[in-house]
Amino acid sequence: MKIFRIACVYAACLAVLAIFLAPIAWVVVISLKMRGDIFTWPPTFFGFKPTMINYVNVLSGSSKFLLYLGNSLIVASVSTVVAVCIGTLGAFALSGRRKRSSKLWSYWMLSFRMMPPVALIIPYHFLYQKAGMLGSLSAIAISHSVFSVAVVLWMTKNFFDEVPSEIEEAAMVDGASEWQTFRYIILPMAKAAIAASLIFAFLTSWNEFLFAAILSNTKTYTAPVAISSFVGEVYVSWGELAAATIVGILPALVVVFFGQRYLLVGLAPGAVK
Amino acid sequence: MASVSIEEASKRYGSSKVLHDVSLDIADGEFVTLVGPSGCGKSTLLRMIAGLEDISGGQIRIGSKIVNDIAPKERDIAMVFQSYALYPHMTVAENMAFSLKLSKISKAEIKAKVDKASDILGLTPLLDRYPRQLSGGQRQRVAMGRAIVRDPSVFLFDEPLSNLDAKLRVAMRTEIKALHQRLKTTTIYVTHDQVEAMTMADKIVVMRDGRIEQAGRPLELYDHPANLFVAQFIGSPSMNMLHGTIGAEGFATADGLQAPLEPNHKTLSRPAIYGIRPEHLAIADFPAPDTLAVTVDVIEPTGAETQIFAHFGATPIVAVVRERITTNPGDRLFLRPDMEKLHLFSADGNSRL
Repeated sequence: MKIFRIACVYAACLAVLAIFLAPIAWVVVISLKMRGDIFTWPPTFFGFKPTMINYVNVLSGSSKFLLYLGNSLIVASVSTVVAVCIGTLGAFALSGRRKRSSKLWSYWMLSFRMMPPVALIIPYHFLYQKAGMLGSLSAIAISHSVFSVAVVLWMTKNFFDEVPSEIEEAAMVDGASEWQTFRYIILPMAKAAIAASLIFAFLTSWNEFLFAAILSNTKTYTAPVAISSFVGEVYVSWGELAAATIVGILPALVVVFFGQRYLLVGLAPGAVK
Repeated sequence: MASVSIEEASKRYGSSKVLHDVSLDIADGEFVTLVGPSGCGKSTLLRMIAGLEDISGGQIRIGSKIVNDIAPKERDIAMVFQSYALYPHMTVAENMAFSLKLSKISKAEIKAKVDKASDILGLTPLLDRYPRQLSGGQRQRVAMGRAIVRDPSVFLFDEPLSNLDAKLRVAMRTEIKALHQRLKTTTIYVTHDQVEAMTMADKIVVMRDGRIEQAGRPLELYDHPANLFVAQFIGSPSMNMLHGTIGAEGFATADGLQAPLEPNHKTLSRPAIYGIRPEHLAIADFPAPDTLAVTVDVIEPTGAETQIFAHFGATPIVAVVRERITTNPGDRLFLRPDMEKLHLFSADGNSRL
């Protein structure tokens, strides 16, 4: 009976995994097919001659995809660093002994995430145009930071709130200023939460399409925007599109693979003791 | 080292006043315990001295300096918290060295101070361990070591032994007292345990509801409690209390029984509370005018002594005697109070007669 139950659990997990992985698997298969094989009917997962030509086309110098990948890396890295720096400082300002005045500020920060991003597209476009930053990587990075700051703040604030107030008081008595308490005591204690929020901010920026599409130009496309450019008005390069998609998600997969335990910690506030 | 002077200190949280114009002088090098039930204001007062709470009124001096508006780090104090408050990501050595690093003194000097403090507290083999790898007693010693390395003018202890088991508490009590005798630093120690207060302090300050009920040497509070609250708080088991009236015949309890009095007490002639400590009741072989006839409820022999739980009329009575007795529940027993150790309080318990 026990074996049957375990078998059922595994079967259910495999079924769910299959549902989530099927599209990815299909994209991988398309990326390895010649154009003729892509449109065969019925579609096949196996029984075709795999080719790397799509990857060669995407990664070759003429396609500029590597440049766009680099843009994504720059934007994601900068927006993550900015969001984590501002978010953790903000979380510290709203936690612990300072908590008494923080409720309004905390909810105001969270409201950034409640707003549909599409509502900001037109104002952002005008703002950056006026500032002469339209088409720059910094415009995209700043817009990504705004949304990530709120999430980083909430994730780290939950952990900072779990730090016993006596530890902060001990630091005060030991002679630490607020900044020194933050730098030497609170930050090191919240490493897991900061790592989780860092990963979350990076992934959010890496996968973001809307603001990148509106604020970039042909030189400053990010990976998601570049991938969408394989869909032409008349012609869709399915093979290159699939190959670019796989190449585009690889860095994010690597980040999630190595940081998954921190993500779990970050999604369970109060787990840090 | 420094004296501490608290002058009419008060504390408010909104409209609620939790400390009512408390005044207290602590001499240089003195070990003072603030003791009282939960919510009496002892920790609040300690935190005000440390600078972790604002002072709503009055002033606090450390040495000759008024410290009301001075940050904790400028007050030259060190504090040991109830939960130890060790930095979990630092080793024992790093915990102890943290305040010294902030003071920007040399590495050699930091090492020397940490080594000296760890030597005093027996922490040398543990310097590379993290707090999670230590027992409760070891963590408490690290917390004390972190305070000692700073060589402060005043040590503040906020119920440091509350989280330890009974046996360890006794051992650490002795260590803390020995440390004080060695370092001779002014120490203010908060506890709710009157045994800790009695055994450790040069001076005990008993607090209730944000006020000081009595301050003095331990035996002074034990022998001459100023009111009913202090009388019952100090001493374990608590002092026995009989409610009644002082008259020419003696002390008449509320249920019509007579308790013996000294002749000079009989002139008071008023409602009062008759107090006698359990250890000041001796077993008498026969009934006499100077004895209390009690009915035994429970006998508890502890080995070194015997605790007798009985009733005098409707009033519960506890006696602690050295001898071993064979008595059964329900038996009559005659207890002779030591008249020199008798206490009389006003009927409302607020003052000693």
